[in-house]
Amino acid sequence: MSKRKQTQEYRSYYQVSWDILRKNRVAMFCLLIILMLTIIAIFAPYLTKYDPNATKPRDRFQSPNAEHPFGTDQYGRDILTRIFYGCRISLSVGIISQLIASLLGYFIGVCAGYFGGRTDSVLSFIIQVFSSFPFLLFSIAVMFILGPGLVNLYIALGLLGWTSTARLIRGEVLRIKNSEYIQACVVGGGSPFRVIMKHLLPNCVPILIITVTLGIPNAILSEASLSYLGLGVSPPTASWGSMISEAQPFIRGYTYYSLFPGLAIIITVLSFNLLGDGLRDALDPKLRS
Amino acid sequence: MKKLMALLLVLTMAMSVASAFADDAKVLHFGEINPKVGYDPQTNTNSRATTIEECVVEGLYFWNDQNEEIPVLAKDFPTISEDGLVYTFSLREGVYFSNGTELTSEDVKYTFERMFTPATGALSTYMYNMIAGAKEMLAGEATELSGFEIVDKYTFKITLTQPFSCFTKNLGIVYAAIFPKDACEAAGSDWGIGTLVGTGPYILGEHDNSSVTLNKNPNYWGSEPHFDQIIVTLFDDENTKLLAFENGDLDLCQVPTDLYLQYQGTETANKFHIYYPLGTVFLSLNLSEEFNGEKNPLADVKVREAISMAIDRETLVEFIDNGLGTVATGTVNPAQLGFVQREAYPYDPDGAKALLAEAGYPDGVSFTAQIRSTDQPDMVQIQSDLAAAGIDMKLELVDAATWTSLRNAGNAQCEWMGWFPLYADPDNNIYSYFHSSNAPGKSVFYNNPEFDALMDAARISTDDEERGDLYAQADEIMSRQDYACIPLYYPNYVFAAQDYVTNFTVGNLIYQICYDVDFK
Repeated sequence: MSKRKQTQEYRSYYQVSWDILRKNRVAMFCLLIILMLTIIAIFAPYLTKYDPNATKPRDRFQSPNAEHPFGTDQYGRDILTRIFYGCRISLSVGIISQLIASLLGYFIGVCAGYFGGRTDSVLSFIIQVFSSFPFLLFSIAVMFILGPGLVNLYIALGLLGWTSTARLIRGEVLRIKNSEYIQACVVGGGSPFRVIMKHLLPNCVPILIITVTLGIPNAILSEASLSYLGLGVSPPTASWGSMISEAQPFIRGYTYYSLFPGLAIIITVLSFNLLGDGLRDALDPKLRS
Repeated sequence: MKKLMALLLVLTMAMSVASAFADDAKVLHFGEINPKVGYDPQTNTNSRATTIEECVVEGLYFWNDQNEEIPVLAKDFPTISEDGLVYTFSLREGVYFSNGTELTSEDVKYTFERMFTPATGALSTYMYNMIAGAKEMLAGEATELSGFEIVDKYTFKITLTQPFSCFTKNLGIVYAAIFPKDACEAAGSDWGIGTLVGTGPYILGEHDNSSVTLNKNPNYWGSEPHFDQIIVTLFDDENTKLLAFENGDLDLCQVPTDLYLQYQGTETANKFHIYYPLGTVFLSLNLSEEFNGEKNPLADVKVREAISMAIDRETLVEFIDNGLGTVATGTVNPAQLGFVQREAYPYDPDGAKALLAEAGYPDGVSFTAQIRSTDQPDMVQIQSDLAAAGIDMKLELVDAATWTSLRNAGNAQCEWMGWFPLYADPDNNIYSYFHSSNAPGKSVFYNNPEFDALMDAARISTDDEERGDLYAQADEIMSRQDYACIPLYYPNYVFAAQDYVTNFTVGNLIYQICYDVDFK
């Protein structure tokens, strides 16, 4: 028996992907920022000594100083504190709405791709119809019906953001549903549910990771837009969009008031987008060098 | 080619003539937020549109900046019959509309009949519907106003269904401006949009979504207008408007109170002037026993008193409103009939908590306020004050249209309200809001027979001293005993005028730019 040299240890798909991602400095930096934002969102009450909602009119419109690093708003509330609490809204809206969207998108995409035929035609038609709506206008209409509020934001953005996921999943399922291992499962008596959950889902996870990561910044921006328009969270809840909206009349006199929430949105959205790009490079085998 | 050259030459000449004219012309540049309504005073009540309308059309009487009523198209104040029902008016003779037709009693009759014709969609009929026959017309049962009698070309009689002490005062509002019959009929639905003809000092010229040009009426019956032209530039944004003022593009404009602070210490602030409108800002409360199928805590007078106690009005006015206001001690404004200087409302969060416990709410109460984005500054501050006393006021941000329909349907629980009378008489703001015949339409549902009786008596009485007394008593009951609303402050407003603008004052909300204002 000849000895074969084991030159390379076995590494899983995700381990390889992680290695690729780890070498991408920009993506890693963004991941770090996102981790930081997550920590801020979770531990917001412990990071600041101020109440985000209690007003102190005597302290209003303070420019950034040692007491209030980002200054205070027109009610004398600490802007940094409100940005911390706004982070909770933004991240939760981003993540929860994208989970809803992915779940919906996955099942509709998988059903369309796997069952084919008439099911596919009907579901594809629905996907086409939904994706033809202008997203922001549609979400304004939905929020108008549901009324303002955080849970309604999750639902509105979740219910509207699934079409791109569904399309990608459908394409992926069409590609792999005729593979031998799936045929073997079907021949062996595997139910469609078993095929969908056990064989198709793992293959779709990379796509889901990428669409969620790239969907989150869109959801955050939509939340900010809706809150800016007064259709998002109700006052006094701090949201970056509503903060900018409140600051708008003062943009000439107290620029910092709108500047900091604006920066927070830019940084968060950019981080998610760049991380999403990095993830796509890492997870797509075709892009691996 | 030659033709084209000739045309160009003519054009250049015409333009140079025009610009020469423009150089010499005395033009007032006024800046205003676009009212986005037409300029028919019967079908809109927008004070921004009113500013423009008052340059073009005139009524029988007029409320000037000193809040005094003066006869305009009427020669004098009417003679009133013993029973207070028949008013006899004499028109000023020889007054011509800017289209050349003479003003006669026919035009006045036409104006009122137009107002009461349902198809017109007039908004302020409640101020004039005590004229006999008005209600029939509004119901579509009649096409002629039975209470209007033309005596001769310049004399007419108006009969009321009941004595109403404010009738002549209501005629001083631009909603009763007199239109020329023939021109208004010819214009049809274009009246107030493309066409508006009146007896006023200026003639409506070119106007679109960005500006309105008002040209001097050369045949104006009164003293000569001060300007050759008034150009009203319409803006969508307050900051842009103020930038235009700073640049010197505007001579005159209003300053929104929230932007007042950022100009403090700048040179522009020296051009700011404060005025005192006649209204009061208050929290409007829904007093019905049930709201949305649940027990309404606001129905309890102790809860309402607790809300009043929990609000730090001084801080609200001094900081959130930049000191532009006076803390209210009642709902009647200091410049109104029936105002009495009372003690300030107490501010006592602990007392508020005790009152709540007494009312059976030891753990505090919760209710929802429906607000528009413009109400947010005051309401966020009040929300924070109330929270400190265990009162949870939720804020529901809605658009203006939803807000209005919620209120009209009685489905609003609490709102921020700046309520302004059109002239200094409480009948116009207190009766129209809190009398039990009107309160449901404002989502208030206040019903105290004692208060109603005082307000009704003041409507009939013609003695202003007695009326003032009645209003003082009514206000005491409503604002200090029943807490039917929570008065907050009497707001002050601000306008900006360049140094060379003279004689400019604002009486109450409406900018009267066509009479006294002049340049140095």
